[in-house]
Amino acid sequence: MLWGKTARYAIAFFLIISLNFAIPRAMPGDTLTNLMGEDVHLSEDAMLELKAKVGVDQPIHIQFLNYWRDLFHLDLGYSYHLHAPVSSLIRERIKWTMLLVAPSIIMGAFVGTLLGALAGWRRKEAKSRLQTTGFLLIYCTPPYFLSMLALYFLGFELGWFPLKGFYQSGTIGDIAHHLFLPVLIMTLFSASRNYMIMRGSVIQERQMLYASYARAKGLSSDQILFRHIFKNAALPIITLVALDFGFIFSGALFIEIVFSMHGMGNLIYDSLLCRDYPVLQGTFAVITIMVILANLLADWTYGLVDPRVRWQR
Amino acid sequence: MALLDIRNLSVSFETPQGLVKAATQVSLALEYNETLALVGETGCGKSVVVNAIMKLLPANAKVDGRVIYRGRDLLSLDEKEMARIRGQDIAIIFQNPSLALNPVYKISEQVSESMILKKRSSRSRAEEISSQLLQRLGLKGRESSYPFQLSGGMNQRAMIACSVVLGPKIIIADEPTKGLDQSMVGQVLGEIRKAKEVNGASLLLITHDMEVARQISDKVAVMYCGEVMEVGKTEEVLQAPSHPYTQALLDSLPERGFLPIPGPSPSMIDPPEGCRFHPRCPWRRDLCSIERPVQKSTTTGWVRCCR
Ligand SMILES: Nc1ncnc2c1ncn2[C@@H]1O[C@H](COP(=O)(O)OP(=O)(O)OP(=O)(O)O)[C@@H](O)[C@H]1O
Ligand SMILES: [Mg+2]
Repeated sequence: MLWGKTARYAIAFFLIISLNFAIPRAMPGDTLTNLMGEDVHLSEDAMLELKAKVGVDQPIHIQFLNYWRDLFHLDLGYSYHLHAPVSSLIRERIKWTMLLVAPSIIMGAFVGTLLGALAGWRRKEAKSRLQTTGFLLIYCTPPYFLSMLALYFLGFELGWFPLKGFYQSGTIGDIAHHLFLPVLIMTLFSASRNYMIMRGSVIQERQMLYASYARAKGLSSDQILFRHIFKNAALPIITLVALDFGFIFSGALFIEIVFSMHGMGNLIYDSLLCRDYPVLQGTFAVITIMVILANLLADWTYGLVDPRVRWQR
Repeated sequence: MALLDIRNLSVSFETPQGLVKAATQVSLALEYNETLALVGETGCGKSVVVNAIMKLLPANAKVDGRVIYRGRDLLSLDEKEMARIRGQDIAIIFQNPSLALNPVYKISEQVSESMILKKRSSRSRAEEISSQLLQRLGLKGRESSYPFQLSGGMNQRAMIACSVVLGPKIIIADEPTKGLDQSMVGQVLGEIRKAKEVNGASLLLITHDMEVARQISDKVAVMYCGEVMEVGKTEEVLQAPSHPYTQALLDSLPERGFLPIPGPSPSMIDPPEGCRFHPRCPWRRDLCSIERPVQKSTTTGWVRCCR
């Protein structure tokens, strides 16, 4: 079953990456310009030389094969705007995004599922109602707005955190200080989503007969929740966290901009503004790979947790 | 003094359609080492009664009366004290085994769980005992299966193992033979009887199969529309029933000619006045629709009928 899924993902990967190849060549206008970016101005001679180098004068199927060969050599092209290979640009930026996103998603998953499970279990209590209202509020507020609020109050008014700028060099303490607010916002946002899903899921699962039978076996309230209901209720969270990891770049985009962070989000944003097509294409390829890997991982984890999926034929 | 003494147990459910009077002044006694069969047509309140004993009813249930177990009224216990009784003193086998077992755990894990959590056994000891028990119940080699991989009958036996692993003093079995084919019925009943004998327990068995009641029980209680109509020794109730409903129930059995009970099943929101069976009773008199009959002694028990 997992092999079938993997094959399906491989086909999806092939199609999307091929699309990435086709778009600049199918766009109206000069293919070379579409590949270089629009702010590159060159002399006629240099243009011809570059054409040969990039290979756009070759037949399309040769170009296609070369494109795949380059991809497997992690060669994503060259940004004439930033004067650097795209792959090294991305490598430089992705670690900052990871530093923001990975801890946020992991903490958000833990906090959200745990509190959400308790809230679904003790749904009627005033405390969990208040908590649910709070998380709903966070869930409904766009992350960039939340970021601006946090920056204003905690950064500007109280002066606890730096307002902008993100040092790429600096001590660990320095980096942590700069990362605190964005990670907090990201964590809250991801936690609020997991919280809502988990709460609803527990409310649904607690109606099931197995929960009632667990009580009949003499288990305590906490044991019923954490031993019996939790594992069943947490299944949707796996998919959600995987999606989070897949879409980290778009999710983190606004937060990175508000906090002026040197991550993937800002790289995409900047290259959009100056039509740096090679960078856009490169990041597109990387995002595709991330989304597909995340989904594969989700399927795999799902099978690990739910025996019904594992044994399905 | 009976092991379990149910006195005037009444249960009603608050629903949008009205108050469902699922059990009304049910009084029953379960003696040491005894098997009591609770019979009656579907929807008459059998499951509600046993779930009330175990305090497993949902929040919209209102429960009145007393359930005395070893001198203590279970209905007055808090959730923590009740959790100690469940499984160790009183165990229940649910009606729907495939849904009652947790889908994401192996059956051996679900059996050993009670030992680990409630008896503080070590994991290896608990696993040893649970796999022995499962083997005795004919699930050898299936210990590490998940419920969805097993048939309904196998799940039924797995649940019996889960319920009796702690050696309860009272075993409640809610229609354990429902949906099983005839060859399995005898086997499952045998297992339950064995579990009862090994533990020296008493058995409260819900069934609407009269044949099952005849085979296994010492005493029979007949329920109709939330009330117990007749209680007595199995031979007496099945050979010479005192209540017209019991008679009608016996007449509706295939071997007695499939005579259906005339009239519709009564509403539990608006149950009939007086004797609840009077609209369908062939012996009905004027008094029956006015006055609720009192309990009258029979040779081995009692009946609630004016005839
Ligand atoms: N949670 C509930 N809310 C409202 N009504 C309920 C609830 N549980 C049970 N009832 C009602 O109580 C009555 C008795 O139900 P119960 O399940 O005890 O019947 P039963 O005798 O066990 O029937 P069966 O033989 O089909 O299992 C039914 O009319 C049912 O609709
Ligand atoms: Mg029932």
